[in-house]
Amino acid sequence: MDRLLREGNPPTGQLASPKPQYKKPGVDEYAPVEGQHGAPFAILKDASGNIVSPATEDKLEQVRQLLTGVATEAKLEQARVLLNTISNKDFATQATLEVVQSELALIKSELDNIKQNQTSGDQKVQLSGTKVVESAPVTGIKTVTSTVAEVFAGSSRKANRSKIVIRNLHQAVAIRIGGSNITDTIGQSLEPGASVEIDFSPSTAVPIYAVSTAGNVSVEVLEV
Amino acid sequence: MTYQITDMGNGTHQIQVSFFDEGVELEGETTVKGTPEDAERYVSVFERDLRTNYAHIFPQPEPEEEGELDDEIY
Repeated sequence: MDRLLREGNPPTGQLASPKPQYKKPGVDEYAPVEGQHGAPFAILKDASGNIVSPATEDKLEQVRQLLTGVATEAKLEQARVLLNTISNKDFATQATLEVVQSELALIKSELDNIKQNQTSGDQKVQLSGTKVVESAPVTGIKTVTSTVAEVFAGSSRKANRSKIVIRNLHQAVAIRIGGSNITDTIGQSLEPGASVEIDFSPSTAVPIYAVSTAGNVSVEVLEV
Repeated sequence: MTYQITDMGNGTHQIQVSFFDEGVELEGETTVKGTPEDAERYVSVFERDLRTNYAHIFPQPEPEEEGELDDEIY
């Protein structure tokens, strides 16, 4: 039978009033409520029965600071929408990225090779089109003697020439043509009445020498 | 005609000729292999070729008049 706790020494002429009390859990017993700072006093305990220390104002302030960085529900919703838009994207795997990296390395190597060829002048090219005369040709008659001498049509080697044609006008004597190292026995032989054509790079000046194999020989020269 | 021979240092000599002294605006330049004497000998050949190929810019010799010849005969 439950019975409340009552004061033990009521004022004269009054009944004993119930004490401020609480019912113990699980049993029909009451215990007085104790107080502190003008309010009922209680001790917080965790599930293991350990006393939980109440948060101080400083700790509460720390919690407040932490909570200020936490996303709100609205921000979380924005993040959800954003993640949903990229959820069906085909993202490259690490293996795929490594393949791409390898291909880029090959392309870089090829570009380096091309750059080196372009700067060194080794780049292979194939020209097409028709070779045309870009300046007035020069013609003349030259005397080829036993002295190895340069042969050209005018008063000097034509600047930026691209071709020279030499025809031996003599009916019996051959000449030899080539570089400055020719002799009357060494060099390209140009027989009587024969002609030869030599092509040049206009940007490179290359002298052509001639020497007679016997006496003076007239040659007809055309430079383009 | 004036000329100048320059040793190019590789067994060749450069010959430069000018006809400015004759009132003809023509210069020529060629290269020969050999000694300075070889170059010297070739100068006359080079000069002759230039005079032949550029005959149109050299003054032509005055044609002799027939009357003067008759005077000399008689």
